[in-house]
Amino acid sequence: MMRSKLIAELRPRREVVSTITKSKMLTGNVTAAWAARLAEVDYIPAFPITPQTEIIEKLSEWIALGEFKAKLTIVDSEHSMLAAAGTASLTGARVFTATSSQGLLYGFEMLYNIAGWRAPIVLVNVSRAVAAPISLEPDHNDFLSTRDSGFILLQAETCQEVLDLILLAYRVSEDNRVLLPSLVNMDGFHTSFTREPVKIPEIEEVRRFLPKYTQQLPFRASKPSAKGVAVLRPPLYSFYKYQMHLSSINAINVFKEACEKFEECFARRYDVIEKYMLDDSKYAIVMMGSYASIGKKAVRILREEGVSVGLLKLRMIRPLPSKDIRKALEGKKAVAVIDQNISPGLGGILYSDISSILYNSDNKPKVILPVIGGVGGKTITLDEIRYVVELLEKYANGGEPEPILLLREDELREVESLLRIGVGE
Amino acid sequence: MLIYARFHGRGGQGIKTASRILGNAAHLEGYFTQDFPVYGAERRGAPIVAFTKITDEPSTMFDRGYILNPNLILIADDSLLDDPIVNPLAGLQSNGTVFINTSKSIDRLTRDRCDIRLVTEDLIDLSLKYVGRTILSTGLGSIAAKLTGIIRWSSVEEGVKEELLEIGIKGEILEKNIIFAKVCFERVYPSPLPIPKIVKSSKIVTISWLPPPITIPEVRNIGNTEIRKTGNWRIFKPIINLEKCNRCGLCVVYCPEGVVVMNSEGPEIKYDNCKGCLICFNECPVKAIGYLREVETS
Repeated sequence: MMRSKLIAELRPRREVVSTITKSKMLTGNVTAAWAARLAEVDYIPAFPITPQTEIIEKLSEWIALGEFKAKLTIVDSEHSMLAAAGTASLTGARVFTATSSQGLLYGFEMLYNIAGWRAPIVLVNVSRAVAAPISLEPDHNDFLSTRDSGFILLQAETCQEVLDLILLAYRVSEDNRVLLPSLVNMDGFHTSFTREPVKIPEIEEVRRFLPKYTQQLPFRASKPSAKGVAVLRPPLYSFYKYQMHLSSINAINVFKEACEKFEECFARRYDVIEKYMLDDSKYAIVMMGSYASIGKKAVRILREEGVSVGLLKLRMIRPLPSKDIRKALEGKKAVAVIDQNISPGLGGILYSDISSILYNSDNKPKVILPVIGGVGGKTITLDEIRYVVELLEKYANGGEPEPILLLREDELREVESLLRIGVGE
Repeated sequence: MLIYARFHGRGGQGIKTASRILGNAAHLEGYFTQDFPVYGAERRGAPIVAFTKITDEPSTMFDRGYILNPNLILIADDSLLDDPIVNPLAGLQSNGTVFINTSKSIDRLTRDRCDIRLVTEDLIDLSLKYVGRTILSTGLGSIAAKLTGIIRWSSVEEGVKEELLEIGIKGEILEKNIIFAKVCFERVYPSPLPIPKIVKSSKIVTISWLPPPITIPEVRNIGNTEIRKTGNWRIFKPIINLEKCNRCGLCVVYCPEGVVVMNSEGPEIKYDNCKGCLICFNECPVKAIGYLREVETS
């Protein structure tokens, strides 16, 4: 009797039921596999690495069962994997692949090549902190190391966003105004292994959104050409590289156009940035990826307590949508950039990006506070974000901000005890 | 309404599947749900944890990551209770519910925490009876769903089916698992779960430069694995019959943990660190090694 009473009292509202029953519980990894399947990719060169493995396992399973027609090849390393991906793309095949952390760095040289060949592949990276020391938890050093490669960089927060950004990435990368590869990043564990309700569209719907990929001058044995040639005249190198830069800048508006079409097809709205309770706030925090969910929850609670704070979530990292970011942050009293990465000797990578965008603004925030938080998957609590916002309120009234690392007293005690075990005390 | 369920167990005990059965059942019931495991070191027997969050609020109200303030805890293995690193009851909310799979009586728990509700069942016995082998995930997931008080059996049944099919369990074993889950579902009763309170955390500290070598990631404490007692990972305990043993030493060679040593008397198993993999039992050419369920040995 108690049970039936509980069920009667706590049944969800009907509209909630109707919007959610069409979705499936999927991890970020399985969602990425779905995106590749729905994009009807032709070729998947792969090399497994935790926490990306599940993506390749799922695709391989579907291909083995005959549910999905594509060629999947396990190669000897990420370097070969990316070389295969880029060259296959130049023949006119739509290519998908995925890696993580050490794997991304092992294939690093090829990233610049693929971008230079103007091969519009989509690569998924599942963020995992880079060794040494070895970690399995996420941060963005692997992803952000690619920021100068020429790839379009997109960062997902939720599993649904993984699916949607991969579909958007193909459309943007293959657009003639862009013709650059994309890297869609999700965070290991917090998105890759987390299951959430995900809406998987029908393949006909995806076909309406994503036209077939056509390579203008496909690489053919019968019609030889030399791709990625040596350029021995320096001005020519400058010219090609600057063309890549201009094409990357084009990707901002091409992405926005694609988002409009996406909304028309799937009724979900995206932009190059996402604002959460930001428009009317005095203070702002800037975050990206899965930890933005934690940031949003903290902002909502702080708002209920009367603190005027909002969150800017970065979605497109390269090209950097400067105008959108400037518009979102202009007029704020103070802004904190929470970098889930660390560039030793500099601090947070995104802090420099955000600061440079705002420097020339007439209405720039009085203070931009550099914060390192969540490196190596360290959790960020509500009180940590509260502390950051308190610092913003303090510095808005004067004083020069000091860079801070989010690490709590109880965590430091744990660190100290582990250090003692390591040396045998 | 917010349910923060945390599952504790060991690698191989089906903790992830249990959290997914709860997640799937809640999803089918129409709630917004998130579930996720923390693998840590991916080894059979190593402590692992998994989470399921359930709410009737839109999914944007979620945060991500670990649950520090659960109102429902499910423990697959009572040996974890005394593990200071796992500390499975950490953060359990006042008036929250804890379920423990155990064959023992654990009164001391409610003596220490008189503000929590304790539910126990011997899932290993039940699974041996209904499935014919030790399987915890279906029972644990089903019990978790029942203890939330908001999930009907029909959704649990569907959740069990989907999750077991996903990991390749079908046919007769699947049917037996559903019966096992149903038995478990009917054995426990829910009581209202408290709304999890926001966790207060300690203050931010400043880190200053320290001289090496302490700041360089290396372990200089050779042989420290012995400090981590892994004997309580065992479900089955191998026992050597020295009368039958011919001292061939294969058990010493094959033991992946190096916990079988040859003494003047013959081979000896260091039970503080033996994980109960039973490779020695399988390899012994003269069948001098047998095993017992751990609960039967004390």
